[in-house]
Amino acid sequence: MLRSLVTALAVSTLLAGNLTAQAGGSPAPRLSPETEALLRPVLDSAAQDSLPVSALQSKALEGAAKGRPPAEILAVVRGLAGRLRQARSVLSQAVPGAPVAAGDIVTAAEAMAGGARPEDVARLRKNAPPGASLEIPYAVLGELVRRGVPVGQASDVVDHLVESKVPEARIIEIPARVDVAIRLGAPPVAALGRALHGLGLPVPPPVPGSKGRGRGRGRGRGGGRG
Amino acid sequence: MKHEHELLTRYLDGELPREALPPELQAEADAFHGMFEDLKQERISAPPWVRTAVMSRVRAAPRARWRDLLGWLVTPKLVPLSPVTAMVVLAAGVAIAAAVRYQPTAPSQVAAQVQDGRVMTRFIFLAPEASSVAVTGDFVDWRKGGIPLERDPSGNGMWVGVVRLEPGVHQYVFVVNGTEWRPDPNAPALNDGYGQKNSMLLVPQIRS
Repeated sequence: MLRSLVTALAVSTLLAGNLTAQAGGSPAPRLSPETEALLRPVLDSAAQDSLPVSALQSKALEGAAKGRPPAEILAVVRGLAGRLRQARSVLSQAVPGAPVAAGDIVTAAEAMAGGARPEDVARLRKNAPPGASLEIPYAVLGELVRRGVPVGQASDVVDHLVESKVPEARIIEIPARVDVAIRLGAPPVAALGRALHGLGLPVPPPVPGSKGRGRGRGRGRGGGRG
Repeated sequence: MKHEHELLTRYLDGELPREALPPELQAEADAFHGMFEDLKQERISAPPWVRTAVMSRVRAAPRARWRDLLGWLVTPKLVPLSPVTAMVVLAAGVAIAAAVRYQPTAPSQVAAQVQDGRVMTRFIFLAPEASSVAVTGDFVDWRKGGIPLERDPSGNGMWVGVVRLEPGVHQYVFVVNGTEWRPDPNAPALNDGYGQKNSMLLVPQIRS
């Protein structure tokens, strides 16, 4: 009961357009009453399922700012809610009982939308050090897959980097390096290899008979991620 | 003698009038004129072997290809073009010009400077003809006005702004002249779900 009350209050606050902007300028865009009414059930449901409602709210505000009609905004937000729900399920099942960060859910959903497989998303979460944010690694995984790197190999690389506790600031540099190598004529896999070599990042050891799967040690992770 | 020769040369070059010459040189000048007139009347033909020798050397000389190309390029030509083709060519030209006009020279950069846990991030966009450029995205709830960028005072057409962002993944676009929504051509792009593209920015956790 209390949870429902808190959820309803949070959703009402978001719909009222009381989000605080990080910088000055024009006021935040507000949703029309019609759009608010259409979105309320979707956002209520999302909040009850512990999905990042702020991501859904942001997508709705984006549609409003871009002048999209309420029905289209509803369809886009509903589609995003579905992807977030799937991503949250994958992440929860990978490490049962551990909290799932909102940012991880959003970028895991984006990575899966870009071609990453649920098992790759789950493996990364299982093998990551406890408490590590996976928001950036999931985003990089998605970017590598979008650039044509086979999902298994992309997953192996990102998994190895996270396990090796390579700082996010280094991992972020990989997609741009891959872009450069591809523009110079390298196929995606070779481009990834060159990017790792150029950045001095560790390369995952080859696994005989594996094409990007089967490296998961499944040692699990503790909680600690909020 | 040398002086007289110079006077005659200058006369023949048109630098001196005939009256400036002494009488003896005037006679000599007249003799030259007579000879020139005679030459004009003559039709002198070279022996046949001269023509053959000259033409064989001309044919033997290598012809530079770049001269051929240059000659083709500078020679006016009449190109038949249908109106439809002309419109396609014109549209392609306009599209290329627009792409060049709005192509930034550098993607947005994340500066290793942290303030209140947020990371100072610099946005750069090249739009020499724009009257205003702003950046908007999830970090400002997609307000149309966004965060205005400032025109670089050096006059290079760049628009620059620094924004404090939370670490994580952000989506954004540039708003040109208050109406045109343009993704950053040098940043990863994502489908926004509404039929357009958003740019993606990864802001790492930086420990100060």
